[in-house]
Amino acid sequence: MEQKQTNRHLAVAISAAFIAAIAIFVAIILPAEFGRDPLGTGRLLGLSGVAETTADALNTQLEVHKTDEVEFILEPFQSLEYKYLMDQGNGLVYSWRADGELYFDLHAENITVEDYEESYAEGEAAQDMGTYEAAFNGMHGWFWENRGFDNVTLRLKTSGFYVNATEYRGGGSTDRSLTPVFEN
Amino acid sequence: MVSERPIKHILLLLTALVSATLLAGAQAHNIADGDAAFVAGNAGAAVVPFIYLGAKHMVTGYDHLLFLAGVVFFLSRPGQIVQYVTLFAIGHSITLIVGVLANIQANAYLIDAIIALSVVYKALENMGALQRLGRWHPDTRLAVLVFGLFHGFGLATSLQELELNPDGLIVNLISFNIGVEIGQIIGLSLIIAAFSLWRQHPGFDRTAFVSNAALMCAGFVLLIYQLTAWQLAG
Repeated sequence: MEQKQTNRHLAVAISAAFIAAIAIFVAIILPAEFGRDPLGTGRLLGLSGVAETTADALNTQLEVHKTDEVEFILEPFQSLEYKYLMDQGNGLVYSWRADGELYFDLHAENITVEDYEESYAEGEAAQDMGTYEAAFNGMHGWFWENRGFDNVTLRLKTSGFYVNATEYRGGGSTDRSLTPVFEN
Repeated sequence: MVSERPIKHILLLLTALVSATLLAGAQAHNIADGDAAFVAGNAGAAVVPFIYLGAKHMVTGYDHLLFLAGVVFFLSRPGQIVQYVTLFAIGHSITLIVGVLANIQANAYLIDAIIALSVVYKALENMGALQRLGRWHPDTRLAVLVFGLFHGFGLATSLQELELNPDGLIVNLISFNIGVEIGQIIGLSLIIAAFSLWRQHPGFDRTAFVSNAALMCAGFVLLIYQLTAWQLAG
């Protein structure tokens, strides 16, 4: 009798646990995590929004949208830096192409934290393209160096939400103001 | 042993577990984005960062913690706790290290589903359900070791999802493993402290059965979650 009683309790507890698990899953986790709402409970509890919000798909900007197109000639063993002043979270799209291989270093210098630099990619290449989002307020851009024995012509095209650009070459620097995509 | 009105207790415990599962479920149990970028960009031995990542993975790993809670539920003697936890640690260390070094690619969803099953199994064992199987009883020590092997595969697959640099791999792997053990000790001390307080309470025996039913329910939720994610990802 005692044995039978315990068996019954076990059966009830195990089935209750399983049924409760299915109920919790269908009513709460399915709408919140997978965006499926068969019972309408997700809408009722306001959970549907959790699954439907795709993180970081849209990122509207306050900075004026600008484009930039530059061409440099690098003689053997010459180097230059070309960087954009960008606020944290602002992005740009870039492509660069050279008629010879160059050493490059895509990096950023923080202007709010002293002596803080971060390098994102470096190596030897004749071209590269991508999207870039500033991780902090600062100067963001490339160092290029011609390590070969021939002149190399480099062209860079970007479009993005930067303030201006600065070219560092031969110990000096020049600022460049850039064209907004819509001129007022 | 069994309360006369288990339904009320089940409801209370379920509410607590659901909120815990939801909070934890808000982030999938993978190594977080920023940490993943760190690991991908890292070359060479980095002992302390990998110890930290291992410990963080374990402390925030509710599936591993639920299983450990089940394992130590009825263990009160320190010797016993050490014995079972060591078996679990041996099990998951073997598969963590062998899995990554031999580059064994397991299906992460299925491994996590088996880990969820280990929670269900442990709850069944605590509820005394396995005594009803008749003459044959699974060896509880062996079970902890074997499920430890699967938990280790889970750790290995989440580590393999990152682009691990071969430079310094063994040192980083061992560091991660040490971190996992440290994280396990941190998690366990909190669990054991809570259980020993609870055990002094006269209601412990009465609620133990129901608590394990709730633990089993959490295991089932994790199981269904992983199987659904696997089906939808495929």
